[in-house]
Amino acid sequence: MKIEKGKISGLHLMFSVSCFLQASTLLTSFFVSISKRDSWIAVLIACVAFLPVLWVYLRLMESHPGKNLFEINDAVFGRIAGRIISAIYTSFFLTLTSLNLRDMGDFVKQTIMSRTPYVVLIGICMVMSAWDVHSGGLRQITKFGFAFTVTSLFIVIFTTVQTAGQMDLNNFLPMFDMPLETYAHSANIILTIPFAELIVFLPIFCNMENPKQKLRKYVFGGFAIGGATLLLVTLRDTAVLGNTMDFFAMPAFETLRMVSLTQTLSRMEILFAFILITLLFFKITWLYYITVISTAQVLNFRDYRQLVLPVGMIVTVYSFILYPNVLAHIASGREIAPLLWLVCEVFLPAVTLLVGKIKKAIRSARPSGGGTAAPASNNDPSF
Amino acid sequence: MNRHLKKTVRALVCFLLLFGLTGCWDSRELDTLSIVTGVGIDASRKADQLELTFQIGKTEKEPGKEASGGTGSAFLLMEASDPNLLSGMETLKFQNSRALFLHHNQVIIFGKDLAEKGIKSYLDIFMRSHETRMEVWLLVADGDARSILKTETQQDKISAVSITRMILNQRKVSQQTGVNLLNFTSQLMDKTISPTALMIRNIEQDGEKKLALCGLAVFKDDVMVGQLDNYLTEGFIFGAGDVTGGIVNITAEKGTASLNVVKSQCKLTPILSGDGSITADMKIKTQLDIGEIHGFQDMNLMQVEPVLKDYATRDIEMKVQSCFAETQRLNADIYGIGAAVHRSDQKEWKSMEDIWHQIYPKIKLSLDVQVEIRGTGKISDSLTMKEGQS
Repeated sequence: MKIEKGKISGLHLMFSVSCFLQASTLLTSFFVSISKRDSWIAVLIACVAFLPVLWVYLRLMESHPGKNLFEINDAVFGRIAGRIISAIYTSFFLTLTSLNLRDMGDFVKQTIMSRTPYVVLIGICMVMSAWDVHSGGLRQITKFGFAFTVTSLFIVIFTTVQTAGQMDLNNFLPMFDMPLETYAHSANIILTIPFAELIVFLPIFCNMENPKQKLRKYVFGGFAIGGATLLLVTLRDTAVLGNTMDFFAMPAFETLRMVSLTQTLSRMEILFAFILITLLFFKITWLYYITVISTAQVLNFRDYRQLVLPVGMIVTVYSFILYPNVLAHIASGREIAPLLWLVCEVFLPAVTLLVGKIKKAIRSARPSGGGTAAPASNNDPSF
Repeated sequence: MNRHLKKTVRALVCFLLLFGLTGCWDSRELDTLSIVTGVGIDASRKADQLELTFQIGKTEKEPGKEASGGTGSAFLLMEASDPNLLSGMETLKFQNSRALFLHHNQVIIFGKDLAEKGIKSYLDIFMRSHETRMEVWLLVADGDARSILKTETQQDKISAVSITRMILNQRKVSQQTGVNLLNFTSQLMDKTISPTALMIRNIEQDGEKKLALCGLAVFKDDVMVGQLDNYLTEGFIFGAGDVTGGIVNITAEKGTASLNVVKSQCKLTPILSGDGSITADMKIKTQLDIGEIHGFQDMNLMQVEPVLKDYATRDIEMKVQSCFAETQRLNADIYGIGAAVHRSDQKEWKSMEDIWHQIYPKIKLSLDVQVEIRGTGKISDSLTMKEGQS
């Protein structure tokens, strides 16, 4: 049974992926505080390290054509075990939604509206998202992707040009000066926090129009745009802020504060605030939508719209109680999340793919009756 | 019925959302703010106290009312003494009908007494607060910061604004002179670089008080240890990077001349020799234009040019060498030679980093100044030179 029946075009999917990644690129302090001026190297390492993960995701989708993540779980692990695993994914998506909502609330509260109650900031965002999820659904949400991606790319490039005068290329030197585990740690954070969060697209990859050929192309294209934005932002911040970069909770925000081409073209941080809120809104809406359809799928609802409000309430409350303060949030983002999330983001999909392959191999070996179970996975007719 | 209800609910939701978009909780009206243009921090006579001065720009007078009101100054000063910056600002709340607004702060000025005790701990608030920017200029007053902020400058009425313009003019000559909070913190965080900050002092001319930039304050860690006067500062900017303005004055036997600096570049490479000694290799390439010539009778420009070149080279060499010697005396690596060693030779650096203060005074300077005279202005030979030739 499919919860979402709408179809989206490949381009929409691509821009949703890139937009989703860009929403995280602006909050770089998690890894910048660890790998400092060599952060861009960590970004490159993470980009390379993510490719096999992306391959697992795409392979998983391709080996079960027309099925979404939850149907694959059911098919591979059986009804009960499959449901349990789907429930784990769902709770992960729920946590992600709350975390991003929290990020958005923290950002607005700390930088722009310091006296506005948290609940108002979050509440308004959630009302908008709920409306979007309820009335718009998949097609409407993904339509925004293109506009948001282009806007944020434009702003990132525009501000890079503007801060060019403040850049000092010596800030990148000396390179490779830190112990190896620093790079590993930092790359791990980049891999788990923005990149592998793309797992939230697994439930809807099957909703793409004629997915057979182009899925890889579009998903990779989206990832390339998102990754390039992250790299550009990291390079720009390093060049401008130098060794003070790891001080700030939001290096990109501080970089834009430095912009002053002339007296009139300064105070550009509002652009950052604008684009960050826009992108985070997209990300929250997307995660919210995915959480709602996952919950509907796990609990056997026919129409996911009934779940929009209950899930929204849980997300809102959850975002309040997630962390007692910013310090705990940062500590968790640095130490716990990169390891714990790997379970959902990499381990589970990989296991699913592997078990699926083995089952298929056994099944195809059984009718022929031969003791030599052929490794049939590669010439499987389904792809 | 149901459709009506739906419509009403939708309209209500839209209406309620409107309230959220105004951001009323954080509204700040211009007439409820005291816009801080400069912050002065001085040491107090009492131990552990700070004398804080906030310069607050007044908004322009309404055009019609000018005749009736007296000619008050364009700013007012608010003062507080408190051990901490933030609590000092808090006490001002009780004396002020408006809230201090730091977004447009232009300068932070430290009094010399305080700078000599160390200023690291006072920078925290300027980095932490969401109202402040890293591009604010950092200065040290030769004297107390309060009197600097108190000075009424003539053209730009608010002295903090006037100081900012002065710094921007300086930076057109060299980026090394004007130091903002970001530069300062960045230098401070690098263990071996000694931060610098522009110094400013009050001068009196014909009974009128004026402000003048007077060289650089040199810090060791966050403690001010010395001062470079304008002459040494020139030496510093020639040795520290690109220079795109300024003047080289020369006095030769037969006449004097002023040469405009068109462009000067310095390449600094530390050379590590086997016995552990370090030579700082500075290659300075300067392009000059002739700005003004006196004397040099009986000579034409072709003959004068090598003389000018020779003297200009010696003049720049002098400045750079005396500045370098002074920094070695202060043991303050303001050029960032340590950082350059770190960039070029990471392995050696590990053994040097902790004893850099012992190494720096022993560094040898190998200086190579190349001067080129490019332009002569609108004329070639000067009037005095023509006299002799005829």
